[in-house]
Amino acid sequence: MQTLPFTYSARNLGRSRLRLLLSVMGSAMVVLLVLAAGGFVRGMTTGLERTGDEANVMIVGIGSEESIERSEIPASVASLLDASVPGLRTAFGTTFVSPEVQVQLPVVAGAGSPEGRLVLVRGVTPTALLVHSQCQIAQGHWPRSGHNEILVGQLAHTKLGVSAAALAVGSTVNIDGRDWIVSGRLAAPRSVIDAEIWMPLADLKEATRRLTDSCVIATLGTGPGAAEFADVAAFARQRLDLEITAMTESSYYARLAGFFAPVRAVVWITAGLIGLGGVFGGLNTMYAAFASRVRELGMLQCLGFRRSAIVLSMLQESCLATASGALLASAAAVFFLDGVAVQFSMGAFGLLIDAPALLVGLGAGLLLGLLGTIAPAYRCLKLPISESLKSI
Amino acid sequence: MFRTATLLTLAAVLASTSACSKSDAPTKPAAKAAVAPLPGSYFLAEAPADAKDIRAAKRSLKAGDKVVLIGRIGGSEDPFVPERAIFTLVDKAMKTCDEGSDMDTCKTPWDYCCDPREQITANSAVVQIVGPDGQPLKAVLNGVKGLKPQATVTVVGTVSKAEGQNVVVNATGLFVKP
Repeated sequence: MQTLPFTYSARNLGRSRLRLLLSVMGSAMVVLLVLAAGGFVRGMTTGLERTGDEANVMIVGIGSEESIERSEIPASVASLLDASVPGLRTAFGTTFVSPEVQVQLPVVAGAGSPEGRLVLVRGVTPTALLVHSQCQIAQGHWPRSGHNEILVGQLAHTKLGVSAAALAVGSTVNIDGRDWIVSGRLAAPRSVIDAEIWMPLADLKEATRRLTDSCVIATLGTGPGAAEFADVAAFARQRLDLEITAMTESSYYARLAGFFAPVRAVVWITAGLIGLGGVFGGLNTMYAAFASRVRELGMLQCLGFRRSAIVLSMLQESCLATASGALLASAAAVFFLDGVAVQFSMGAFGLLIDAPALLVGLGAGLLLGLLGTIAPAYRCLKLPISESLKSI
Repeated sequence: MFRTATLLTLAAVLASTSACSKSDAPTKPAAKAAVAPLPGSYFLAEAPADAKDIRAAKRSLKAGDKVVLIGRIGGSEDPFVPERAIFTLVDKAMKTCDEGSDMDTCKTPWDYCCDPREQITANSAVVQIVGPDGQPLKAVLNGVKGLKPQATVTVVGTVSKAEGQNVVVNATGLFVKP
C-alpha cells in the first residue's frame, strides 16, 4: 500500500493554528485529568503498600486483624516474642521488635478548628525506627519520654488542614486536650506513616490511660537460622492465654488497600466520564477539520492513494496533535501534580505520577486521537470520488 | 528531520518513565523451599483408650504428664499454623457455630465465633509435633490423613506447658476419627 508521507500529516496540522492549539490543549486537559486520577490511585495504593514491609510480622489481638486500633494485647508480648523466637533480625545486640500503640486522637494545631481533626498517633520506642526502615528523623530529635514531646510526619499538616509552618519544630500541638511540643519531623516518603504523629510509648499509654499495646511489629532475620513467619505464628498459637495472632505487615496493609478499592473505582469512573466528554469534543474538532478537506481527500484518491492510506494519514495527524497534548500534560503532571498531598481517612498520601500513571496518561492521549478520527474519517471518505471532488 | 524529532521525543518519554520506576520498596524475605506433609508414622491405626476431654483434663495437667486428649480441631478461622506441625484442639462439648446456634450459615463454623473468646480459650489446648530441637516440625498438617478443621482427633503425647489456660501438648501419635 502506497502511504502518504508523514510530513504531509505533520504539515496539515499547521493549516489552522487555532484548531491545532484547541486540539493540543483539549487533549492535554483530558490527559492531565487522567494523570491526576492515575496519580491518586497510584499514590494511595503505593502509600499503603510501602507502609507494610514484607519482612515484618505483626502480632495483634485475635479478632482485630482488620483494625490495629481495636487491638489490645498484653504489654509483655514484645519481650516474650524476643525471648521465644530466635532468628529475628538484630543489630548491635538490639532485636528488631517494636511494641506500639496506635490510636486516632483529635489534634489541634495552629489556627485549626477547635475540635481538631482525627490523626493517627503512634506510641513507639526507639526500635520503631529499626522495624520501619522507610522512616527517618528529617529534622529535630527523637521525642524524650516524660517531656511531652512528639515527632510529626511530613504530611501531617495536610491531614490537619494547616500550613507546614504550624507544625515546625518547637511549635505546640494540642492532642486530646493536652499540649505537646514538636521535637522533630518524621519522614516516611510514599507511606501513610508520613501523616502520623509519633510519641514515646509510655507517654501515649499514660495520656490514653491504657496498659495494653495495640500490636508488636518484628522484623524477620535473613540468612541461615533466620526466623520465618511460621515461627512467629507458632509462637502466637502456643500462647492461647495471650489471645494473640500473627500476620505479615504487608498483608495487613494490602487488606486496607482492598478496603479503599471502591474509592479508587469512583476516581477512575469520574475520570473516564470526563475523558468521554473530551472524546466528543475531539470528534467535533476533527470532524470540522476533515469536513473542510473533502475535496482534497477526493483528489488524493484520484492520485492513487487508497482510502486506508488516507485514514492512516488522518490518524497520524490526529494522534500527533493529541500526543503532543499528552506530552505537555505529562510534563505538567510530573512538575506540578507529583507529590501533591491528599488527605484520606487513614492519613494522607502524595499523588504519585510514576511510570504506570504516565503510561496510562499517554495511552489515553493516543486513544483520544484514534477515537476522535475514526468517525470523521468515515464521514469524509464514504462519498464517491466524483462527489468528493465537487464538494464545497 | 521531523521523524527524527518524533523518535527522540518518544525515547525521552520512555527514558523518563523508566527512570521514575526505580524501586525502593521495602525488603522482601528470601524465597524458601516447599514444606513436606507430616510423615505417616505419627498417625495411629486405632483410637487410643481412655482419652480425656480437654476442659476436664486442663484442671489437673502439669508439664511432663503423659496424656491422651480428644477434641475437635478448631478455635480460630485457621486452626493450623501454615508450614508448622501445630494446631488447636477444642473440647468436644463446645458446639460449633453450625450446631444449634443462629449462625448456621457461618462459613468457618470451627472458629466458634458464636462463643466468647474466654470460653474458647478455656476449652482449648495446643497440640504440636516437635523435632529434636524442641521446636514444632516444619510440616504441613492441614489436609493430611483426614486432619482438617472440625475433625475429631485423639492425641497421645506429653504436656510441654501447663500454665493457667495455656496447655501445650507435644504429640507422639494422632488418631483421626474417620
